[in-house]
Parts: sequence; C-alpha cells; structure tokens
Amino acid sequence: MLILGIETSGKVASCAVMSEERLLAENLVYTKLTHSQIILPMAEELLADCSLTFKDLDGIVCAAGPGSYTGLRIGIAAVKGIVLGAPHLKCAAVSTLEALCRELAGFTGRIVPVLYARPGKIYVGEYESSAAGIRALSEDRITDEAEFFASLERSVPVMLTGDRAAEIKSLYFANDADVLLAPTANRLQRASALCAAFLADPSRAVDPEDLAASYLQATKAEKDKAHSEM
Amino acid sequence: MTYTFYTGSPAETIALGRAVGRRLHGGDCIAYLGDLGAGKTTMTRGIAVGMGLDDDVTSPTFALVNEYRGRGLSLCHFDMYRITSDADLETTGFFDYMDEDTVLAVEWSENISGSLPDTAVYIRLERTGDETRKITIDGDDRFADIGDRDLG
Repeated sequence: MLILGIETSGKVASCAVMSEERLLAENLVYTKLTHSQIILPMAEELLADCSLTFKDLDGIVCAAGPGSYTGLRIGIAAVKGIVLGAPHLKCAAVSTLEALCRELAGFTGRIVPVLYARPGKIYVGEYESSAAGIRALSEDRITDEAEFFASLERSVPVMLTGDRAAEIKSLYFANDADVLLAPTANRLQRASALCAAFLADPSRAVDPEDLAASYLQATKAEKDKAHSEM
Repeated sequence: MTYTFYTGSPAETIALGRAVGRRLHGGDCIAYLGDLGAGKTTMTRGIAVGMGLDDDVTSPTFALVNEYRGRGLSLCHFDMYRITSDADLETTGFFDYMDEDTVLAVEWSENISGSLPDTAVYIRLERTGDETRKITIDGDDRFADIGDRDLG
C-alpha cells in the first residue's frame, strides 16, 4: 500500500509518502505560517519528487487529533478534498498521540505522549510499546497537567514525547532516570508516523464523509466540577 | 496592581494604548471590560502601534478575530460578544493563538472569564462623557510608570 500522510495538528506541517517497505519521501517544517497555505503545495512537491501522482497512491491519512483546532480542520479538509478528486483512495484519520508513539516504536515500555492544550491543561495518552506494536492503555484525553503527572504509573520505564514533553521532564521528573525524554527529532508530529499507523492497521480506513476530528473537549463532568469551584 | 487613567479624547486613549503596547511581550493577554463604544478598539489601535505594528486596527466584531502579524510580536484581537460556551470558544481558535510571540487582546472578555490565563492584564474602559474615558489597568508593575506625559 502506498500512503500519503498529511500532518497539520501542531506547529509542524509535514507530508510523507510511505509504503510497507520504505519511506519514499518526507518533508516537515516547524512553522508559524498557516498550514492551509503550506500543506497542499508541500504534498504536490513531495509526490513530484517521487515521480508520483495522486492516482498512484492507495491511501491518504491525516491526524484526527487532539491538537490545534484549526490545524485539525485543515488536515481533514485537505484529505476530504483530495479524495473528491481521487475517489479510489482509502482514507483514515489517526490519533495524534498514537502517531507520536509510532515514532518511538523501537522502545520497550510505556510511552506517554503529551501536548500542550491550554494553561495547566494537556492532551495526554498512555501507550504500551513492545515487539507486538503500539497499544493504547487508556483513552486519549484532556486533563490537568499537575494532577496527571503526580499519579503517573511508573512500574515500567516511561518515555515522554510531544510538544510539552521537555517541560514535563524538567518540571516533574528532572532527576528520575526511569522517565525518559524522546529524542528531539522524534518528539513532534511528523507525517511518516501517520502513514505507519495506517499501514499497521489498514482496517482504520473510513468513508471520507465519516472522517472526523477528535478535539477532546473537556467532558461535561469536568466542566461541572470547574464551574462548582468558581 | 490597579492603575487608573483619565483620557480626554480618542487620541489620548490611543496614546495610552501605545504606552501599554510598548510594555507588552509575547504570551500576554489583554482582557477588556467595558460596554459598546467604550473605546476598546481605539485602545487596541494604540496597543498595536506600541507593539510596532501598524495602526490599521478595525473592530473584530464581524470576523471574531483579526490578526496583525509583525516581524517579532503579533497581535490577535478578539471579539467574544457572541461567544457563550467553551465549545464556541474552541471554534474561534483562541487556544491556538496563545503563543510565546503573540499578544491576545480580548473584547467582551467577561464571556470567557473561565478560560483567560491567570496572567491576563485587565483593562476596564468607562465612558465619563462623549470624549472622556476612565481607564483602569489591572496588571503587574510593568504599567506602574505610565504617567500623564504618555497621554500627550
């Protein structure tokens, strides 16, 4: 399967073309510029570099979230738009947090991807990485940063990744050798990780109209709690 | 700390905004409190100039947010008048704009009081006459040295 990945969920705009055998091409830019202006030209250039067109692809994947509200919408809209013109493409949206774990697939232990949501709040997941692959241990969620890391399960080695990982390491685990920080080059979103997730489980494919973002809003219960504390 | 100013004209309000804008840095959030026509957009015009941006600031009422991009600092000017829930707020991209090189200026901040950062600088504008305003800044000591000379 030949997959185009489109990643716009955070500061990184990234595209990749990947098959089961190899990563053919990948581009990523950490940028403040609007992803909507960057991502489609980037995809076209990347395909041209590989002497491919959309017709040659089998599938296309973007990040489902969590992440930037606007960024997620750009990625999903791009995929839906491309599929309109290339209806043979299988499409999927993959958890941003799961994809971050896929970049660290060689690691054995617990991976905790953590993205900054808003002051004091994080998007976080807990994944197990082993020879069997990447498996979610809990649902991705938005939660209180200090609370979550105060009760982090640490019976196995933990690796932190994501745009908030470095701050988490220095704030809560500065002297803890069993809590590791993902390497710089593998700590932020990249499109090849989305491709890897789709390739690992092609049954994720959905009808383009069912492609949806997972913004991870605070639950009703959390809002009620916050309200009662006001 | 709270600092109170009295301005006698839109030009003076802009001048005060300019003094405030010069003291802002990335990650700051200005939360306006004040009624329609109190001068929030006028004040923001001054803040933009103080930040080194141009003064072509217009009301964000229809767009919900106007962005003014600079080489260093950028300003995002929100109108939360029609924002009444967390879900509404999310759809403005408010949280996407919170950034280390961006200043947020939020009109009708009352509507999103639960989502404002703890470090928000509150600016209350009150009409005291057709042209005159009482402007109260509730923020840190960066604003302590703004004086009448800044209004000229």
